[in-house]
Amino acid sequence: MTRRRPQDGSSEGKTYANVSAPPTMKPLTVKMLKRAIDARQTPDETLVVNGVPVHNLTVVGKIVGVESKSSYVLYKVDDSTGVCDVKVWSDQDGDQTAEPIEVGAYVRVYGSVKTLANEHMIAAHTQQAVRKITDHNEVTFHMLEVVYASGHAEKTKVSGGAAPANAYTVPQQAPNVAANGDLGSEEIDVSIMGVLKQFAEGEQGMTVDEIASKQNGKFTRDAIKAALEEMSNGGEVFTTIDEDHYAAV
Amino acid sequence: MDDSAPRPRVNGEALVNFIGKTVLVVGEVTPRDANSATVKTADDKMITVNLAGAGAFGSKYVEFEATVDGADCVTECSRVEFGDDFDQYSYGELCKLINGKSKELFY
Repeated sequence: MTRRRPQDGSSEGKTYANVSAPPTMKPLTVKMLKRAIDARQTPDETLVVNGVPVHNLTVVGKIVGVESKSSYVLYKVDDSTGVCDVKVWSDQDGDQTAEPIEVGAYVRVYGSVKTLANEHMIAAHTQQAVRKITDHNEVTFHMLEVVYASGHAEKTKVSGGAAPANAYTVPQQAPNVAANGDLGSEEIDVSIMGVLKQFAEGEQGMTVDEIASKQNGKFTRDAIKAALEEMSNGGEVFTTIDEDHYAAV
Repeated sequence: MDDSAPRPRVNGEALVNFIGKTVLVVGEVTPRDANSATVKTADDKMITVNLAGAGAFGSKYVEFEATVDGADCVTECSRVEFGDDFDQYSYGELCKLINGKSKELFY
């Protein structure tokens, strides 16, 4: 399913087949960033990592160079996978509200990628968007978050956008054929959700048998019951008049 | 943006695979003399670090950027003090991911 969603800047109105997440802050390594930049055909294209567009990103690294000008400070940040430039613009009146952070300190950076004269850099969102790290467990945490977020995005991409239901996804009745047990459970969830949204009437919802009868024998009653219980635990459905009646949230 | 010279984060056990290369080692540091220190890594390996800087440390845990001389010996290029409250277990698990199934995200 192809959906149109608003994008910022030059990519406004661009359509993505696989977009299932809002443009949130993505934890990345410099290597992932470099690879995404190299994969673009033109600098106007939106960066894509693991099939998901990336607008705002965060990296954690060590400052290995500082260049302070009247209108900006340019840091070289090394996260051990690579080195990238991070530009922090001064306030409109040209004042630096704080001294540049020293070489050797670890920092957390929030920003977005900008390209000037074929040079790529992270433009920090604000002066406070480059923050010195005082608790170095944040270095571990960021790298683990990179691994987690990357795995989640990869799984979302493989399942054809059938990510866990939220405000940005629409359950599909005909998702991709299950490739393994994990995706199989997603398929049954999506199918059940589709039936509930289409056929459930009133506040009492549908019984397990009624849901099963609408699946044309695709899943067993036991599998549907188990999936409903799991979805109930996940907050996607809830029981109504008794333990046998379910409705979608 | 340059990713041509990565420095892998490694546990003590993996050092032997990086001889001659530059890596990042984090551990609990014990000063030995003016020129060397002992570092206990997350996987409980004792490593000797030939120091480039001072033989005194301001924190219990230190990250060394160092070239690997041998399976249990490195030479410091630079250091960052990681404080006295650093979760070695989580860092050790991270090193396993970095050098294992999530390697392509890092190196």
